[in-house]
Amino acid sequence: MSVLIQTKNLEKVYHRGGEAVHALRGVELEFHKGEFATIVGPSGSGKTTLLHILGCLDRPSGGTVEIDGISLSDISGSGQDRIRREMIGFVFQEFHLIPSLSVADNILLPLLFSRKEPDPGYLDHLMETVGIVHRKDHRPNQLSGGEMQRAAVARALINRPQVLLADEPSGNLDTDNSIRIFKLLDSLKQEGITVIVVTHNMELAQMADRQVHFRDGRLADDPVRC
Amino acid sequence: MGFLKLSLKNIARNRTRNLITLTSILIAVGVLFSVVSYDRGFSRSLEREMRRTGVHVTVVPTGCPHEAATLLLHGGVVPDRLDRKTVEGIKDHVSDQAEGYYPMLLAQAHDPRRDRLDLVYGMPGDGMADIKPQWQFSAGAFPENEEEIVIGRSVAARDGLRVGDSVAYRTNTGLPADAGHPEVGRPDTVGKDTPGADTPDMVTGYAEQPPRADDADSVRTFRIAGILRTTGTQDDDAVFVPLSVTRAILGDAEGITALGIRLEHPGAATRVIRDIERSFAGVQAVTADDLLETVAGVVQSARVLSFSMVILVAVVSGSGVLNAVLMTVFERTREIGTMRSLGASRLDIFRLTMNEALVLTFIGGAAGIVLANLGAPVIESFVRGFLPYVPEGRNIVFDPLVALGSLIFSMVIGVLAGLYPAWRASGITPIEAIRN
Ligand SMILES: Nc1ncnc2c1ncn2[C@@H]1O[C@H](COP(=O)(O)OP(=O)(O)O)[C@@H](O)[C@H]1O
Ligand SMILES: [Mg+2]
Repeated sequence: MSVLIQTKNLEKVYHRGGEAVHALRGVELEFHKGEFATIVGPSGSGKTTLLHILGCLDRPSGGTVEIDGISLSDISGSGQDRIRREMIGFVFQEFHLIPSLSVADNILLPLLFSRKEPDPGYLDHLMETVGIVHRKDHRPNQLSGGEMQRAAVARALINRPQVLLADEPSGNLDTDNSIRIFKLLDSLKQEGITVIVVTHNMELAQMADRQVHFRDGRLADDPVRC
Repeated sequence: MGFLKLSLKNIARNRTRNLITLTSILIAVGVLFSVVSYDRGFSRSLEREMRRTGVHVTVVPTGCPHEAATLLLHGGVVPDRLDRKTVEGIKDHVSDQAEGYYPMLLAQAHDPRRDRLDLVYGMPGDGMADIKPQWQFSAGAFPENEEEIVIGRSVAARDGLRVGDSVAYRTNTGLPADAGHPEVGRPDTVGKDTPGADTPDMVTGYAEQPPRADDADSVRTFRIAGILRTTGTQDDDAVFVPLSVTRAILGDAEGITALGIRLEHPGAATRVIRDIERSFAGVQAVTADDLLETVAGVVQSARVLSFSMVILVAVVSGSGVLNAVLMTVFERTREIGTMRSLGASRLDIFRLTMNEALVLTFIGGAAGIVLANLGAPVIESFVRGFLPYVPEGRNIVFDPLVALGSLIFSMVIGVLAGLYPAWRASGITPIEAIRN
């Protein structure tokens, strides 16, 4: 399998009231095309920070990230926008659906920004895959947590990204719904999508091909209980 | 789904707040639309009204005081005359603006049969209806040939004259207009034709041939074609005859008492007057109606006042829009960040936010125009209440150009009010939205 994402000596320092917080300290990672990986580690260990940098939502303080051969540190703000639009799908713990839009419109929203015409067949296929067809005309507030997160996964996939990043997608879900989401994420491998998921839940993390362990902004050699 | 639909959905979320914002825009644009429409309609009506009075500018020799000059239209007597050269010069000078010329010659004429001295007002026979469009006849109508005349109500009443009766005037006596009683004419010359009775040339206003000197002391009779209703002006005491007749009466083939000018654009009267008075010595010009001048002045100050009001309301409603949109930006920080994380560019967010301001001002503006139109009669009667003079009829007329202009004005408010919130919104980073 070819390497899709590669980080080298990744550093991130936050400045909070004159105090520097080292969120990432020299992270070296590789993710392959079509790989399903989970990132686990205690709270505050830098998992979210890493995901944001991989997702072009934030820039590292040092080191490099390459996605599909493109170095993220070299690109401009609008270049980052384009990478987010074209290569990456994001799923959040809080779902972040737009309350004023129907489920279908929420799923289609990224197409507005990539100036693409909706493909009704693909929309139906996605909604079927995540199991949300019967809810397509509902508003997010009429949905259960599991349904909202499935809709969010469909939204992350509408632009056919190469990478799907999810930050504790099951954090607000019960066990059944959590398992369902992880199975869904796992199934994306078949389409060659690289899936990187942050989670607290070790059992769910086991469902992935690989677990990356984090501690204090570094990769931990040993698995750590959270 | 497009950007516009997304913005519309956002607007629909804050109904009450946006309704208030809409209302203030509605008022601003409604007031603007009304003011501009009324202003244009008023000018049009005023022009129309002025066009109905055939003569917009009257040129008279200087020497007669200003008031006397305005009296002229109503039949005052002015001692001096404008000579042919001056008249031709003036005509030449204003030929670009003028639509018609009406030479007028006043005289006092003696009717030997009634033994009356009448104030006789000579004007081009076929121009009479143009000069006196406001005339109403109690009997008869305008003259149809050079032997017919119109008499004022008081003249008719005093001498018991009726339509069809005849009046005789001694011609070619050399009597100046301001002279005293003429000599008594010889009765044997009654009815004798005078060369001066030829149809006057409308362009020059002059008879083709001057009266011959040996026609002195002849008397001509004229048929009364029409008797005026009481006008309340000096017209009641005057007799109106073809220009050729006063020429014959005065034995003057050259001079005129006044030159009436009909303008293509009556609104330009003031300018034409200034121009004539600057270019010709010994003449002065007055407008047909000083009232209209006064009205134009009042309208001008009303216009300034209304436009200041429009600007004020626009600023207030503009800040309303700014505030409303800025509030939604703050409330939706998270959503905006989410959209950025889904790939929206800063420009996309700017556009979405700007759209909201524009949609608000567009809807508010359109509603303002519609309501101002529906409310036009109310506004008209309101304005009638405080303006000294308002032309007849509807003055607010729907003009698509004014509507379009008002809508653009509204959208300009939208752009200005949307700039800051849109700039703020586009500065929201995905991280700050998702972290909270
Ligand atoms: N915006 C920020 N400003 C300052 N410190 C931050 C910011 N975001 C995260 N941190 C800090 O960086 C460290 C890593 O945070 P995070 O990546 O959220 O960890 P995790 O997702 O593993 O819980 C924590 O100590 C956190 O407090
Ligand atoms: Mg986290």
